[in-house]
Amino acid sequence: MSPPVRIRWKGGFTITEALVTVLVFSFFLSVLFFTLAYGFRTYSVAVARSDVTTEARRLVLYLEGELRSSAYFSIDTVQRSVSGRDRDGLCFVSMLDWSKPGAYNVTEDRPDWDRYLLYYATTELPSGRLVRVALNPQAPEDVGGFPYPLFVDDPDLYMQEDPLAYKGADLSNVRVLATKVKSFEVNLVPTTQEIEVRTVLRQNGVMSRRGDQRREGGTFELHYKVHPQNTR
Amino acid sequence: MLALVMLSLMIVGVLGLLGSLLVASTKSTDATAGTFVAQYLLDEAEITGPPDPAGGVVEGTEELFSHEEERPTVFRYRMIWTKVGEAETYTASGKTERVQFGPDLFHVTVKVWWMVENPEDGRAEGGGRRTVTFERLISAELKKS
Repeated sequence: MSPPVRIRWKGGFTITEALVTVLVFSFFLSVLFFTLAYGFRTYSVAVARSDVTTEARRLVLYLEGELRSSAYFSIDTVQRSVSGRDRDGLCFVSMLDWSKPGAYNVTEDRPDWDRYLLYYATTELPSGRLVRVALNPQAPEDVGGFPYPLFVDDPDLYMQEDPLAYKGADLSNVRVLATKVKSFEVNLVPTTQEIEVRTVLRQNGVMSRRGDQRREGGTFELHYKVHPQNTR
Repeated sequence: MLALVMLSLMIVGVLGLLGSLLVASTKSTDATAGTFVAQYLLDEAEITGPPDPAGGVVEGTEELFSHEEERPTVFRYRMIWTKVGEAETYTASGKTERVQFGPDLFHVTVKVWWMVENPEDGRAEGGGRRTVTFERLISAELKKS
């Protein structure tokens, strides 16, 4: 009687099987990573667009509304640029509370102005900030000179890179309205007594492909002319 | 095999979803820009007045960067001025007597559209509505010639 034959099971894979498995998984992993990267990029672009749109809305709400209720003769503009991008400033007269008693100056037949507003863009690159400064001069300057004499004398004193750096006695409050200002251009139109404002807001997406010539992100341009209604 | 097929379907679905997100954000910023353009045009119309004492149509374009940095979006517009009444003929504030505060009254409609050639189309394929329409009553002082 011959001894029983022991059949030995050969476990494991051939090298070909292992290679095919690795290839298939590599393919799916790369697709997965591509999807993930595309997802991050798309999300960052959507967020960037949403951010610049929100800032644009805020700008329109403040600047356009306050300019509209101002007076053309009170406006002083400062033109400046950095790397070819406009970072202008403008100062005009305003009133804190239009509903207060005595808001109208009957003697001079005009609103009883009680403050000046200054809007300017800082010069950081690639994006500056749009700063709104409320100036409430006390006696003896008070509000009465148009444009604001102290601003006309030394605009750089007011238009500082650090919005909180100015500590003058006429300072009322400072607010940063936008942080993604690519350019802020202000021009006076004397023939129609309008102010033309052109603002470009730009925020890059957080991720972009290597070697891309352009960065994806959000860009929003505002362009409008405002005729201050208390111009006479 | 089934797992691979399901994974593929999921990836395709996620890619489609992300693409839709991008289209939606583009559409949203364009619509906001279009709204600003329409408001700006109406504000300007109050200053410039109607093209003709009887009313009329004004057409034009405005180029603004609304989502891409290099390529501006072209916003086309059509503004229709319709004379509602001359100063001597209409009443205001519910009064019965004529309230002649000077200028003629116009009903102004401005339609702004972008990324479509014809405003009547109003939609781009897969992009949703691409037109806004604003109306305003404007009392315009006609310029003396």
